[in-house]
Amino acid sequence: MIRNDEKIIKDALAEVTVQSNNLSEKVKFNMMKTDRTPLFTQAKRNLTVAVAAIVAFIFIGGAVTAYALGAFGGFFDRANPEFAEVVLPVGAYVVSQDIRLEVIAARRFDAFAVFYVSLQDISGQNRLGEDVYINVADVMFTTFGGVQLGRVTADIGGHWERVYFNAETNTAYFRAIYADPRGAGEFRLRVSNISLGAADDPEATIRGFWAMAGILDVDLYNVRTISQRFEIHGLFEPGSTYYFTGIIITPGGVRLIASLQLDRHNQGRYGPSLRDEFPRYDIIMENEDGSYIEIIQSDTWSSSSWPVSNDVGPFFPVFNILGISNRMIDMDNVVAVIINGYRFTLKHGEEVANELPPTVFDRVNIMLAQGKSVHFYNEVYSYFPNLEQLIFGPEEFIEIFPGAESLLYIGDYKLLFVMYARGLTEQLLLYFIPLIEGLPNIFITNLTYAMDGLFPTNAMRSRVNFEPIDGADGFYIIQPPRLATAQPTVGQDSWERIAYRYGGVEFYLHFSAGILGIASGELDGETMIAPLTIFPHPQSGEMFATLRASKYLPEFSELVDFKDFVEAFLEADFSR
Amino acid sequence: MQQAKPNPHTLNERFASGGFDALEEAVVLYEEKLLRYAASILAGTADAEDIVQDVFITAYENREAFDGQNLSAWLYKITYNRSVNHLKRRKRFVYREQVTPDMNPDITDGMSGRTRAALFKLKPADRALIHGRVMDERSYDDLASELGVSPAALRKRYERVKKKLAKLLSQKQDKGGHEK
Repeated sequence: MIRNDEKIIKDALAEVTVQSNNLSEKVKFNMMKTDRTPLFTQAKRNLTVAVAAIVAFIFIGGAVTAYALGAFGGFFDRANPEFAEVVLPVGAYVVSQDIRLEVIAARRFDAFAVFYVSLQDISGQNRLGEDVYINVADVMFTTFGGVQLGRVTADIGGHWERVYFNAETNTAYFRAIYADPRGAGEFRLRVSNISLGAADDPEATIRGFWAMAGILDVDLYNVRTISQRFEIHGLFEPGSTYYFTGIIITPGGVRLIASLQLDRHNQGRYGPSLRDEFPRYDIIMENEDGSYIEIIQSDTWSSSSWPVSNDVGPFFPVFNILGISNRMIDMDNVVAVIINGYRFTLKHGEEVANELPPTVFDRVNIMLAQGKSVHFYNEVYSYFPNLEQLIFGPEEFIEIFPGAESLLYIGDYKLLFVMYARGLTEQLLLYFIPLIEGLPNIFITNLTYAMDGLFPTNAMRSRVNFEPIDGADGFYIIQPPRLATAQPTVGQDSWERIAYRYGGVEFYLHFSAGILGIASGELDGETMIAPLTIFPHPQSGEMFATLRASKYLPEFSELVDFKDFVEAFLEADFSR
Repeated sequence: MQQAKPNPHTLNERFASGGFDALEEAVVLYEEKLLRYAASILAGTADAEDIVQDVFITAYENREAFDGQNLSAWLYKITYNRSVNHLKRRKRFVYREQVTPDMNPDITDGMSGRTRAALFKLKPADRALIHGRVMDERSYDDLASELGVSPAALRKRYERVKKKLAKLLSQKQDKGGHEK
């Protein structure tokens, strides 16, 4: 019998199939991405120095006292005026279950970041006590392109400290410090659960709370050289050697591309290594009349669906075109591709891509000027407990599931997301309503989703398409890819597909609103200011943003107010 | 050309002091075992890869802390801790609605619904114990160190959990009739 028991178990577990999917390559890639060991050492050193600096600030400033809710100046005036000079006011907050969470300020110091966060019970119930603490928070370390490199949670790698509790306003203030041993990219703070009372008391925990703030490492008030070299020796030319080093600001954020050398001859097969070489591109295709007809995000490197690639053979870089689904790209009218702000002319039917005149910018020092570059994030979380079992019919809508709503405040603007979902033919449609006050067409530049997991992973994150609903202004449908690709377990044998969940489906919508950035640099001895360009899609009117390095707008060289900045760009004429 | 299989004995010492080569060898040698181990603890395969990837990176980053004696046990231990932490986070987040899944035996994402449902009825530590003993034939001493329980207690627990799991797996087979 004993043997039999073991056999039953062994047989069952032996049937489990695991796929490593080039785990070795992934591990290697992550390890090779940065020189981790020295960075880790460096990070620890930086952390020590910087923490000491913070501690010094705190002691010099004396005890933290009461301050006005959400007022950056008020907080640091009383807490420590000196510290106000080195942190960046953020002021992004969300309200959930009558708890308001605000990221008051944040600052990155090399390989670590400090966040000041407040929590206030605005229900009048005084639910927050002296011992309130952040139950689940984590910080994601990402590259500038938004690729998640790592993550630590409060109970593992982060340090949370309650610095003050104001009983009168029922507000608690925290300082969180996180270190990123990789020392790369940006920090994104995300707070999800809050414990109101004793540790691990489930009845005293607010769940589903979701707030997020991100800060970019752009040394916000310091000019520093980011790139030493920006050289492009032709493009699409087999056998050529390309050097890319520079800063790229795209709708997805700001990112650096490390110096890389490409030999197209070596790229007949595209694998994980290409990710290393080409982190990601944002591509704008330009029509004959100079208007942009599409933005294509390249996120994966598996195959090309672009007909042009047939013209230029296997040396064409692999782009997975994720266009806007309901708008076809008129390939015949595509005359140029703009990659990261540089324009490359295309002519179809001929291999003229190889005849492109090389665009060479030799040793352009690109620096971040005194631009206020802040990236705001919010994640809207919705949990659908009723979706434990999804039944997808072939045609008709099956059921509509209520979701959740979340408010985000950024400066004067308010965005309301209301989500609900319905099952439909192997897909789960997710609806959201961005209600924007203050500015009609604030640009939502980066929207990703994740399903079935507390933390989005690269595998499940994806750009989503906005599909306006006819007759329902302000409503959009988000259509994630087939559920089968996003981890729900979907039967293979019958048209009626059933997905079972672990207690429901979790959705995040992660969007960035208000990417601001100004880059300046030396080009042929001339100072260049390259602001973030914001432009509407010619058909949908949706706003997109990219860095147009060719623009000279010295008036933006000063620090600009968020609202003024956006409005100035909206009014500016960027026609070519 | 077939790659030479790494030698676990020499790898121990080299990993502690070594570079990427040792890491790569460790991945080749242990990835499948750790993936299976994580999948058993998680009662699913979905997040196993992420966890195991993290395990290797963590181990490499902290290789100075490794005593060079038993890399396998060290990796198993990290895998166990990571997997359990992962489950805790998930549970903490959705605990109110967390239900035991009534799995359809026909559905698979690498693990049959029957197996998953049965594993779900065990504690994560028990899943680790079962997997360690039945699939990897690990010693009680080894597992005791990992699970923080004495070997004697672990031995008793193993007998009990083994019976329970075998019963669960058998019941499902008989009742559902979905076995292929």
